[in-house]
Amino acid sequence: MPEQDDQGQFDAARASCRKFDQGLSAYLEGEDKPEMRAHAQQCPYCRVVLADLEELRFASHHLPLEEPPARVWANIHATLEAEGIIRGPVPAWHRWLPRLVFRHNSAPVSAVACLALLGLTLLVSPRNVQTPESVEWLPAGGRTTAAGAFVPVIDDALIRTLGEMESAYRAHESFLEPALKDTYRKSLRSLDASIEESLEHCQRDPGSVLAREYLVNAYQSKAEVLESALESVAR
Amino acid sequence: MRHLPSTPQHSRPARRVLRRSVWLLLIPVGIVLAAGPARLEKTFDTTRTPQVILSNLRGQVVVRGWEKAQVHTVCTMVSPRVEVDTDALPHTGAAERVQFATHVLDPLVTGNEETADCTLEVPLGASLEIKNRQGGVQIENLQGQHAWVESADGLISATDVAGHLTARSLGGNIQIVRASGRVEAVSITGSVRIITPTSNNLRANTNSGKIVYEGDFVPAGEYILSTYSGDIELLCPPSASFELNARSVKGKLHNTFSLTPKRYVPLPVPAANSLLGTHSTGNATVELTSFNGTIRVRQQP
Repeated sequence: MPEQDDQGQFDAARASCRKFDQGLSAYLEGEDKPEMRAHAQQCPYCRVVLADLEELRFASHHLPLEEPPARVWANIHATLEAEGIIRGPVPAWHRWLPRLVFRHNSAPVSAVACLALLGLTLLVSPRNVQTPESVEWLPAGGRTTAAGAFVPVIDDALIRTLGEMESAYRAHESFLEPALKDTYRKSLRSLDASIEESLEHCQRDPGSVLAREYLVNAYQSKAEVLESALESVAR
Repeated sequence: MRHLPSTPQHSRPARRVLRRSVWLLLIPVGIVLAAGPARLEKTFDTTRTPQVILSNLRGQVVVRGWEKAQVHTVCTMVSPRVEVDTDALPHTGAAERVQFATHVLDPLVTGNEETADCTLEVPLGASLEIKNRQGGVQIENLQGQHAWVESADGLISATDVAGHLTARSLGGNIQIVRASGRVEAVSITGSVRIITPTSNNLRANTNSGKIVYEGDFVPAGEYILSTYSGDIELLCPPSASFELNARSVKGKLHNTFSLTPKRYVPLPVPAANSLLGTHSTGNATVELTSFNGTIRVRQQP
């Protein structure tokens, strides 16, 4: 008879533990369930489970938000478009806005903004603009060019933003592993040399379409390298 | 029952000392072994055309296509404080996507300790997305829709890839052998070498590295090779049929093919060295440009 009583008590305890399990996620999501707390006080096993989960919830609230790489957004967008969940081309700022809102680090934000701006301007910049009033001043690799030298293609604002990206990277490059830092340095040095040389050539011979193409490409590559560098720094 | 001979050397206190010494020796050995390389080996059942994604911090990555509808991976980590996370989707049945991501468990782990060398065998029809921050990537024998490979400084080597291949590197060299799909190879300071491709759309670009192209062209194919300061070397068989448009701002041009000059020049190219003409019937379009690198077009012996 006492054995049957024990069995009955055990079954009742198991039933209340099962009920506790079922209501756990709702309780952790903030639903008002006083019976959960009461059961946890009586049952040592469930009390430990609840304490662990609450600790996890607390810790996860204080974790920094990780931003997935740009490729992930592009893949998600492509998949959603392929599945017909979203239609047509979404304006670029719609795609970028969520990233910008959740960014905590100013360097990648400015990098993305600069790239978008740079890409846009490179795309729309007239290649054969020769009229003096339409040309822009372009310092080579962040340095001031000789007076009277000019190259039509890329404007001041873009050079400034590219400079800001570079400054943001330089300020954080010490966090990078030496070999990786060296790779970025070599790449940037190589591109700076190309920018400087093609710029000088364009200044001497503004009609050289090929030299101008190289100048634009070098700027574009530099923006891509800086974007990659800032991504590595942010990790 | 065996007894140790009761000599003075093996008296009870001496044996105790001996036992303690053995333990004292074993403990450091155990610690060293525990901190030694970790290994991960896993196999996933997949579809015939899964997407395989790998993101690695440092080390060598090798991916090979095989006949099985499975992804099999073996990763060796230098430090036990580096982990490779794996995920297969959907969680049940044949996976359509398999992901591997290396991460460090301890923020103090840097440099060589971050190394994880991974070898993956994937279905022939798999599409790849491989990012190896530092270290080489070697992919072989793949027919999937696309293969996207990126590394900061390691050699990227792709052999017998049939899909759309994208290889990007900052300082590493890129070598592409017998590619038959669309190819895009970009490096900043590394060189690009393309050997016997059967691709009809190929683009290679490097700022200060060299570009070497060895092989024939596919009729109606388009081949665009461009460097800034590096040289371009095109080696093709005497029977190759192509229309050549080679231009350089300051570099030299050398050609050993007999070219029929074009009757018109599509663009005025002032102050650029250029070579325009067709060889044979001019089936493929070949565009070579450099800023000051030398361009050489030569016949294969």
